[in-house]
Parts: sequence; structure tokens; C-alpha cells
Amino acid sequence: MNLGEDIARMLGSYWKEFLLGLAGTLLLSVIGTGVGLLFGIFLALGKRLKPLKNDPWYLKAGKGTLMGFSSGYSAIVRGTPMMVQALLFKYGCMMMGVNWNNILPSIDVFNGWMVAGLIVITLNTAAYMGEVVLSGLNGVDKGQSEGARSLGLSSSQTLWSVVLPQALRNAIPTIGNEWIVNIKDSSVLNVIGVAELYFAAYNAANDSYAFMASYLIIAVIYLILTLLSNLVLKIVGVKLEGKRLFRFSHGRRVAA
Amino acid sequence: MSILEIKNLKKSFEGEMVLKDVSFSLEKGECLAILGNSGSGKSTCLRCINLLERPDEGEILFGGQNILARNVDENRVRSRINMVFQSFNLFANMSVLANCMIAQRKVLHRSKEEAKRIALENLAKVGLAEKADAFPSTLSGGQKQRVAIARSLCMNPEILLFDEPTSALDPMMVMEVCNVMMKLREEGVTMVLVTHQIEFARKIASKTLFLHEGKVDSFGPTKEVFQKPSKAFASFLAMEASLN
Repeated sequence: MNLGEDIARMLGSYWKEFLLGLAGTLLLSVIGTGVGLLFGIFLALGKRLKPLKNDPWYLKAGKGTLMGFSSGYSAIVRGTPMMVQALLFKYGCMMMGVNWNNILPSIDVFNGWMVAGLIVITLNTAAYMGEVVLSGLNGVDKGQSEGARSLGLSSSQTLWSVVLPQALRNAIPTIGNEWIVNIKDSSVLNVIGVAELYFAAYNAANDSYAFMASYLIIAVIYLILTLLSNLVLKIVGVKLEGKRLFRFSHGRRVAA
Repeated sequence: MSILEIKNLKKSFEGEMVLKDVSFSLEKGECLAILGNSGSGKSTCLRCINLLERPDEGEILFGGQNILARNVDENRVRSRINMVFQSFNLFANMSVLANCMIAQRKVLHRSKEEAKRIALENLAKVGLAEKADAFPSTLSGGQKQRVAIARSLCMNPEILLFDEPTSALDPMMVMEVCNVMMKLREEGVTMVLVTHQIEFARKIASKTLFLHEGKVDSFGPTKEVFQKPSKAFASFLAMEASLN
């Protein structure tokens, strides 16, 4: 049997599994990136906290703790592979008697471990997003916050209304990269039984013994997904920045 | 009572004294020009008045109240003593109108309609009402500075501080900004101006302060300070004249 026939047979027999896998991958990448960005904003703000000379001791201690937590979290999460984090999370849960399959009902192929997968990818992305937002914040001209403060805006009003919107806008290309990385890297979550695209291909291949055809199909789906994501990001970029075009790399993220 | 009284202000950065015992006062409706060589402490003095810098020692009495006291709401003080910067510092993520409305809405809690009306009034005052929907990146330097002035005027400040407002502008734009400031002067807006435009300072300021190496060298009515210049001020004027 040749490869073309294998592919046609796989698509005919397992199209539903591939579609569900695609839905799982999209769910993981979109929620992981979106919620990870929100957490990342707080991590970045935590890293920027500086205890001041005139602060009372409790404020100094609070700022120091938050700063330490943000830096430590970022170092640990960025210093270990997501696959290992997923396994640690799974067996950690099981050691504590938490089985996500027993807690949440399964919906088709999506079992309770999908929630665990969402938690892992979100917490992992948050660490990287923290760095992205931090560099965005550092890139905003100091004059912007001085201008706001000189008008009487408080520190938090200055941050949320003036500085953060500019930081996020500057960071859109990198945030987009994180999304593309998550589309591909969510495949490692199959190790804890999360139903996503690779998981679907793995099961289909083992069922049919058409390994090459299965993995070729998902390779093409991943490629189409990332190309479409690039297009979406480019359109968003053009809308926000006029005619300036962004380029997104397909490479792995670089640890800072 | 003076609207602003600075007493024995001292400020150092990393051990280097920038302001050494600076004292002066300003009455309501006056315009004070602060002159001096680069590094003489002019901008630091202005930033201390706007509370962007915290002085090491001294008092800043605004309407008789020491704004350096612990229980003072710094944001409220800043909303009443506004500052216009050399580099404009317009919010790049907002339109001209939004730049003029944000502090009104968030600090003075004005309604959207009222804030918009006041913003458009002040933009018209500086001749830029038609640029309300433009973004700062599309404006010329002179236009940016006029928007920055309008943005401050929207807050009805009791004192308006200008930190070298024309230094980043070409001569045509300098004229634009100077004209707006002259108009404000005629309206009786209390102003403190740090500038290197000596002739403009002489024309607009009722009082002049010359800072030399962080100390007050000369202070008084502009006419007197210029007519009987101290040795340091005379050499400063000669140097500025040779540069122009």
C-alpha cells in the first residue's frame, strides 16, 4: 500500500479524531496564551517592584516577597521542560489523591486531564509572558509615566492607562510568537493523556499501523495552523501599527 | 501670601549636591523665569516643585501648606501644579483629545461630556482643535508642545511649570509655543519657566531667578535682575549671546 492511499484511508477513517485533536490543540494554545498573558502581566509587575528607602517595613517585606516569587517562578518554569512539568503535575496530583478523570466528566475524547493540560500550559506560558511583558514595560519611555504623574494620575492609573497598553502593543509580535510556540508545544501534553492533535495521530497510527501517514497528516495540519496564525497576527499588527508588517519566527522561544 | 514659597531647598544625586539651599517665592499671576547654565539645578528645582523628585531638605509651601509633609496627597498637588516637559511626554497610545481628557476623567472625575468640552476649548485656545482626533506621532514638535500645554490647562492648574518647553523645537515652532505662552501670561496664569531663550524670558517673566552652581545667584523683578546683573549672571548672558 502506498503513502497516498494510506493518507486517504486515514482521513476517511479517523477524520473525527483528527478534528477533535485539532480542537484540543486550539483550546490549549488559545487559553494557555491568553490566560498565561494575564498571569504574565502580574509576574512582570512583581519583578518591577522595588522597595523604596522611605517605604515602611511591611511594604518593603511585601514588595521583596512578590519580587522574589516572580523571579523564582520565572527561573524554575523557564528552566525545566514543559513535558517534565506536566508529568510532575500529573503525579503530584495523583500523590495527593487528585485524579482529574474522577473530578470532571469526559466529553467525547476530552477527559479530565484536559483541564490539567490547560493548567500546565497556562502556568508555563505565564513565565515566558512575564519576560515578554517585562521587556515591553521597560521599552516604554520614562517620559510617558512622568507625563501622567505630573498631571496627578496615581501610579496604578499611570500603569494601567498609559504604560501597560503601550508595553502590550510593543509586545504583540512576541506574544504572537508565544501563541505559535504553544500550538506546537502543546503536543507534549499527550504524556499526561491530554487529547490534542499529536495524541489523536498517535492513537490513529497505533490503531491502523499507518505511522507515516498519520504523522504526515498532523504535520500538515500544524503547518496550516501556524501559517494561518501568522496571517491573523500580521493583520492584527497592520491594524494596530498602520503599514508596518511584523515577521514571526517559527523557532522555539529563547530562554532569557 | 505667596502662592509658592521655596525655603532652603537641597537636593543631591548620588552624593553630588545639585540644589544648595535654594529659596524664592512667587505671587499668584506672576511669571518666574529660572535661568542658569546646564547643570545649575533649574530642572531639578522644577521637578521638586512638581514632586517628581523628593528634595533632601527644605520646604515647598504651596498656598501656605508644605507639600513635602508626610500627610500630603502628592497626586492632588500634582494635579494643581502641572508641568510641561521639554520632550512633550504626550501619551503615544491616545489621540490628542484623549490626552487632554484622561486626567480630567481620572483625577478630577469630570463627566465624559464635560471633559470633552473643556479639552476642545483648550485645544482651540492653542489653535489645535482640528487635531483632536490625531495621534501625537502625526504632529510636529510645536503642535505636540501646544497639545501638552492644552492638556495641562484642562486641569485648571494653579501653577504651570515649563521645563525648557522650546529646547527641542526649531525656530518656527519656538514662535508657535512662545505665542501661546504669552497669551497665557496675559490671562494671568501663574507660571514658572525654565528656559535658555533669554529674550523670551525677559519679555514674559515678571521675576527672574538665576541659579549658579545650585545656588540662587540673583532673584528679583526681571527688569532689575537684567539691569544690574551679578558677575555670574553677566557672564552667563554674554555666553548665551555669543552662542546665539
